[in-house]
Amino acid sequence: MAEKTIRILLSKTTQDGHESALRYIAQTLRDAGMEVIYMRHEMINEVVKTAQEEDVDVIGLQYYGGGMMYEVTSVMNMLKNGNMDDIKVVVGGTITPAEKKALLEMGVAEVWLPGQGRVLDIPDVIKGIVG
Amino acid sequence: MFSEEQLKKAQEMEERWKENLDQMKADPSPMLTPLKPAKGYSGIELKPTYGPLDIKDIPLEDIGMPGEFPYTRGNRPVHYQMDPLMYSSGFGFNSPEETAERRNFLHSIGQRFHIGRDEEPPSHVCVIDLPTQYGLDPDDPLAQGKVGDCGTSISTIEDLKLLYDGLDPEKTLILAGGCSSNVIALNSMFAHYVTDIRKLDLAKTIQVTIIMYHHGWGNRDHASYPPKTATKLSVETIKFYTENVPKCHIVMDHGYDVAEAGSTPVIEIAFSIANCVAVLEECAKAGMDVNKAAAKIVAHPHLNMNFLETIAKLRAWRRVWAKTMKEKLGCTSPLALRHDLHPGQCAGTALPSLEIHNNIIRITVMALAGMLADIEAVWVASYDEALCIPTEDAVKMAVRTGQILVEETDIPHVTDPLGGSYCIEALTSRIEEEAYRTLKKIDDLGGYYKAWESGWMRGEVERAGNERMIKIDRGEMVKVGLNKYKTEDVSPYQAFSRPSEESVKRIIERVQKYRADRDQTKTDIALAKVREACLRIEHNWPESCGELHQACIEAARAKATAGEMGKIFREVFGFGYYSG
Repeated sequence: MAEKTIRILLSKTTQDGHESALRYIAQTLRDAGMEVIYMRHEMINEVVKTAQEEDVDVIGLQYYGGGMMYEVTSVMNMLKNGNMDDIKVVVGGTITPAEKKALLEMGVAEVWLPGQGRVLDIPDVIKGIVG
Repeated sequence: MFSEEQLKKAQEMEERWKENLDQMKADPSPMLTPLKPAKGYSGIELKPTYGPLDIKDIPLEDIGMPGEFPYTRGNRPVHYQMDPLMYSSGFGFNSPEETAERRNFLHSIGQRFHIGRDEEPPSHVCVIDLPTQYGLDPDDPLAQGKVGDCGTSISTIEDLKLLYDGLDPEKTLILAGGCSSNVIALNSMFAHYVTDIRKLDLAKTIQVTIIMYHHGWGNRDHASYPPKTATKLSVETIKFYTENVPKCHIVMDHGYDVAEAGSTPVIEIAFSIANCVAVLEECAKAGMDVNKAAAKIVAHPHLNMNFLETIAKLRAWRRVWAKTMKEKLGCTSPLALRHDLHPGQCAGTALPSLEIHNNIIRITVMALAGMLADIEAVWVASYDEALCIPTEDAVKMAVRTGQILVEETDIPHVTDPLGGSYCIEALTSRIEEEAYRTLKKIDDLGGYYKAWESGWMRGEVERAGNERMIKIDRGEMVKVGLNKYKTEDVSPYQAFSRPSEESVKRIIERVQKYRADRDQTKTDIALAKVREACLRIEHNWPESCGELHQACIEAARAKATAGEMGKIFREVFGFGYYSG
């Protein structure tokens, strides 16, 4: 039986144009056979709404400054309250080790710090998370 | 360039060199690695060495002397000897008052407008947070979590007073507005803050017009105004500052942004200049003297680790600008034909996040490339850019880098010391040639707007950017400490912290009090006039050119906030993604 295609939603705030990394990640995930939905959000609840509508397995959020703790906390709460715990959340960006610890404690499945690993290895990590 | 006899000698020299090289290549010694072909980031070949034959066809007048058309060798007969390199590294975080404290720190360690001039004030290139860039007040729901995070929060004149406390804006280098689609509102705050804008005659106050920011092939793509509107707003800004603030300049060709997104040096020049040409053509339609408009514009190029290519690129930039202004726009004034590079900024993308002190070396190399290419100002990056807002230690290192390069080396004593170098002149001409090829391609696609809206421009940048990232990811492009010579022991770095809850609370309370204390009727009337001016930009162009800035200044005087003006702009003009 064929492996189910992983569906992943990637998003950044409309206020931050530093998208190069996320777009490169999107291409890498597509090349690895995943279905990537790429969006930008004004308010973070748009991400959860879209994730539900698109029936995704993973939400990937990226931060170059600009609201990470607030947004990820909101997402985790919305997923929990909406009974969407099966959707995994992964985060990357200019994150400190202390912030990573806090995010993992919140239930984020994986957090990439700057310089941690190669983008080419991300698809395998995602596959491992989805199971 | 050379006489028949000299060419014959050069030919003989080159043939001898080739024979010697063949011998060297045939040497079986294990101490020698095979000679591999090399290319710059532009794809242009980097020959193993250069000689007279590589520059024989370059017209001598294309190289020229410093200070004359086409300004390949610099914009002045001499430069740093009389007009030292300027320091324009940006900073900003949390609230304006905390940013002002950082400036005081910088001043205390010798940071000055011109490097080395103790009597001058510090330069203040202000980095603003995401809500301020977007045109949101800090208490807007969309600003939640982002206030003061990667820049300082500015929404009122009071914020500017706090930001520039102790500084005479007439006497220093200030970058007002920062990278923002709300730059008109912010600049209007600034204009009001200095009370009499004509006093800015004395200052080299740099305004940033990144109204074209969504042409932000810069960061791949960015929400902003529709392209034609963005052009009108750029023209409006140029007109206002040309008429009211003679000594101020407008940064418009943002090569830095497109290069950070991954573009090649050739694309960087071509897209930046094509952008400026499109705006200047619109300036002409709006009745402006193109010579005056072009003279106002300065470039913001990228400095990267392709040292030789960067130097050649910057020199080619000046030459392509000069010839394009002359041939395409009919400019005749030397001020329009020459083009300040202000600032050349060290590449953020060149600075990895592991073994960050290595970045001190990288930053020095990049700043050096800028100096050797005779740029007017340099944005020296901080070594911890990849991790956070720079710490005091990192920003001090950046200041010291500039000071050491300027005050301890002999480079400033000679203007364009590499002028006449076989390699540099050959590369400069090759890059120039490729830039014209790309500019022609844009013309063939129907001009700048069509090239943009078709998605071709963004496609070029996206492809080059992804290729670069793949190379780094695979280790094909070496990043010492990141993908080569990587060690397991990575000492944790104490990054600069995010704004405190107290700081954010203070910022929000301040803007709310500002609104509560004002004569709301006056403000509403003034904002209605801003809306009117925006509608006239939409529907009565180019007759309405020049009205918007004045309306925004009056609104700032009536205590409107930047976010209130930004909201009107977005409502009237539309705001989104238009890159095709």
